Amino acid sequence: MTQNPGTEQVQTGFFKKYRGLLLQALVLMALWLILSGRFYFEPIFYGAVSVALVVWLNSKIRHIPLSNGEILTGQRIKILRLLTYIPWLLWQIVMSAFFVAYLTLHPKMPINPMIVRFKSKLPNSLAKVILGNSISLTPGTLTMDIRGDYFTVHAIVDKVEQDLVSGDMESRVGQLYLDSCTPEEMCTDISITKRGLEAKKALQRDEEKK
Amino acid sequence: MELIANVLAVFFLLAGVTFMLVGSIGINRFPDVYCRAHAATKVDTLGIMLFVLGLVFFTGLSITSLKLILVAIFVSLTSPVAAHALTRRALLHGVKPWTKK
Amino acid sequence: MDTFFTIVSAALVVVLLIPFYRVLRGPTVFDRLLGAAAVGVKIITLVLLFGLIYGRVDMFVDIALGYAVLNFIAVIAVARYFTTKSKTRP
Repeated sequence: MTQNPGTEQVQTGFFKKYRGLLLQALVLMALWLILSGRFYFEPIFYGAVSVALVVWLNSKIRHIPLSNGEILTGQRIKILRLLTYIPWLLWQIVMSAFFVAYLTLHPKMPINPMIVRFKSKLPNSLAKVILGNSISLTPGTLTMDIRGDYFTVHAIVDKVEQDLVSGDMESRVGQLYLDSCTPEEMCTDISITKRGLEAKKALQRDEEKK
Repeated sequence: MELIANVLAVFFLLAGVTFMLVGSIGINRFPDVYCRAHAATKVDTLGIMLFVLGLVFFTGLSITSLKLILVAIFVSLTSPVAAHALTRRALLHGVKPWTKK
Repeated sequence: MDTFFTIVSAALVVVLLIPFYRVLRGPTVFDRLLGAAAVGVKIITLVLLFGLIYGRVDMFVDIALGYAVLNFIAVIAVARYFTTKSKTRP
């Protein structure tokens, strides 16, 4: 079936406007089909009704600001780059598991824990959540706190701390949202402490500022 | 063909159990709660992923194996969040991190 | 194959008992919680393995999913329960 250019224009506009909701509905429907496991009319109908209800509720919820005053309807994620990001993350999970297993089974346990605090320039909350989860899954680092633009990260040896502050992973996460970003400009304002008291005081300073 | 699938299944199951054993040892061996969270998050995540991969090789591709993969995805997404919540509370509570002398 | 699964589940029970030492001994309450969460992750795999032994994976995998959700929510809820302002160590 051929379409004239006018309706196609409208359809791409519609698609761009509601892309997030359509993707959400698609993922929820796939989840329903996997969980129910039946492929005849009745379960699919009920699934479609509940997916429509959930998507409608979510479209309302997205306009309520978060606790830091940010609204989640902002920049949209680049799906093609997400598809290349996920295999990289899987590979990082395998690497980190082998790394921590090596540290565990080493007789002398060569660890030197430290707390790294840095400021990142990621554009929105969702990107920060992705970065926080990715930091936790990459070798030897664990996100302890995200407050505003500041990340507090626990690094277990010196080498992973250098990898972390080089900003390589941040630029990968930033590329999910921004067109271009380099590792150098993403990660600034780095401070390293070995004592928990300083990190705690820094957190409480931020809390009092609000 | 079935023999190859069974051998792969046994291999991945044993690898998963080994990684979970290493994670358990790590929870006991590391000196403070932050380092223990490293062991609990990463090693256990890979352990359960390998275990589920082995089960998928054994059951074959069906709705059930998709559900098994869903379990692995869920655990690998939530274990960093749980570790983050715990260590954040520990830091705010004033648990001192262990440092090398 | 059933014998193999039984042996693996016995090994898993042994693996599962190791974090219990941390739950019993842990100097802070966070160590205990971490150990409990680690036990939960191993119980998920144990439930899946029991499904294979009884030949009802399709039923046990739903139980495993529910257990994973409960394990996560329990850790988050208990972590939220502690306030930031307490001065004494647990």
